[in-house]
Amino acid sequence: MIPEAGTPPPRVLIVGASLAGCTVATELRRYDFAGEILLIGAEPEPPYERPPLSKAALTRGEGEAELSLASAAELARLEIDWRGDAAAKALDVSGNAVELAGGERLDYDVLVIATGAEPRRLPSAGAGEVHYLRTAADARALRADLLGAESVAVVGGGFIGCEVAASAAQLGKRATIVEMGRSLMEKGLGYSPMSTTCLQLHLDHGVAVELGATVLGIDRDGLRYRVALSGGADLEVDAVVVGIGVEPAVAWLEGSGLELDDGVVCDVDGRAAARVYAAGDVARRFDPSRGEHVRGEHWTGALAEAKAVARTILHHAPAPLPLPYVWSDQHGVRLQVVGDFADAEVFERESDGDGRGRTLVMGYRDGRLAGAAGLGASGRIAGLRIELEAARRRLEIA
Amino acid sequence: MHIDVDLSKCCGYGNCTFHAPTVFELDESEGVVIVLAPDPPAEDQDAARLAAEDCPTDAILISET
Repeated sequence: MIPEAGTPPPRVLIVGASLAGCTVATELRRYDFAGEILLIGAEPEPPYERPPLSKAALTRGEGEAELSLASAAELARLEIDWRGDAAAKALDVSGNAVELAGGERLDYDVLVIATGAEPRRLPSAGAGEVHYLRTAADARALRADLLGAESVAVVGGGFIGCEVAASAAQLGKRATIVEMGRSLMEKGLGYSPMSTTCLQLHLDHGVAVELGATVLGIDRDGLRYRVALSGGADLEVDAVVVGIGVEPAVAWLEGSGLELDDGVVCDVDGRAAARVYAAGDVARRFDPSRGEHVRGEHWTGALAEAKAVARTILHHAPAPLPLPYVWSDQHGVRLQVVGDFADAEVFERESDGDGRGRTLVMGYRDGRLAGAAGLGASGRIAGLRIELEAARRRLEIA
Repeated sequence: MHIDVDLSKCCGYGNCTFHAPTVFELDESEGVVIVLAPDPPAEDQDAARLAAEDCPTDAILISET
């Protein structure tokens, strides 16, 4: 049965119960949607936050209580039918049903795909020998290993790798970041003065950094690991963590007929097909301000997409999505990136001369401020973010 | 009105200090919120409510006493 425009649908099925999926569910209830909401997640835990997994989950052992987005009790109170340990296996678009790994078929009137992304595997690592970090279970296993280790190799110098290295250093461990590119966090920071500042931040805290290095192989050597690097050096460490990016979790959608291209392709409102929406790390959403589809990997973006999908399902007018924003806590200081920074044409650095270590770098494109990155510069970044949002609104109206 | 914040949730977005700069400010280095006025005066209360509503991580908890 097809819901008529202006009437909310009876059953919304949300596949993926992390930030985006959980937020669609709670937002629907916040708007007094009275139909059925089925929220299914592949992991056993009720929805929880991922950002602390590379921070307090490692350094302080924070777990279910501190990381919870919504407890099983809270979801039940909202009459959101949450099921954990329920991985989706296939989608039947014309039949309006999702097939679970166990064989069960779940019908829907509206489907939200929020299955997120999975860590890219390191081909040169043996199976099961290295840590990846995406789930709470991953974090528990990694923390246990780190506590008993003296040294750790962190393969990948992106946000996750840098945070893990900083957390390891905080635990008193010797960490070495192995990054294939020429700078740390290149996807988020480009090759900018902030890249140099962040490299120095790690070096100042005793983290070793190998740039332009790839892992040729990882061998066990008793209780230790020998990590062979291009360029000839070997690392002998007690633990290895790999953080080399993620791939959107779309394998279950093969053959469904949905357009898949580095994620589920959807329009500005998150619509992938009639009655099918996508939000979060899995969604490759059309961004009108860039004139192209973009797949975000950051928290505030996933949250905003989820809220937009909830509004669209209920036929409310969509709200514009915010500019990209990333925060990352490393060595006791907060790094923040706002707007279109990494791809800026011109970078200008502003630094706090009195040695407090505050660094701010502006990124310009076409002569206009496009983005900014700050390290220990939260007040300035907040102001710049508001300015950039206002400037973008003026451009859209003009 | 009394304001508490959950610092573990704060992601330094800054909507709070934008809406109510006399009530909220961000710690420059750690990028987390500082509540300047935990029991704000009447003239700041609407702005404080907006700040709480606009916080993406729901880190601001307002008790209307």
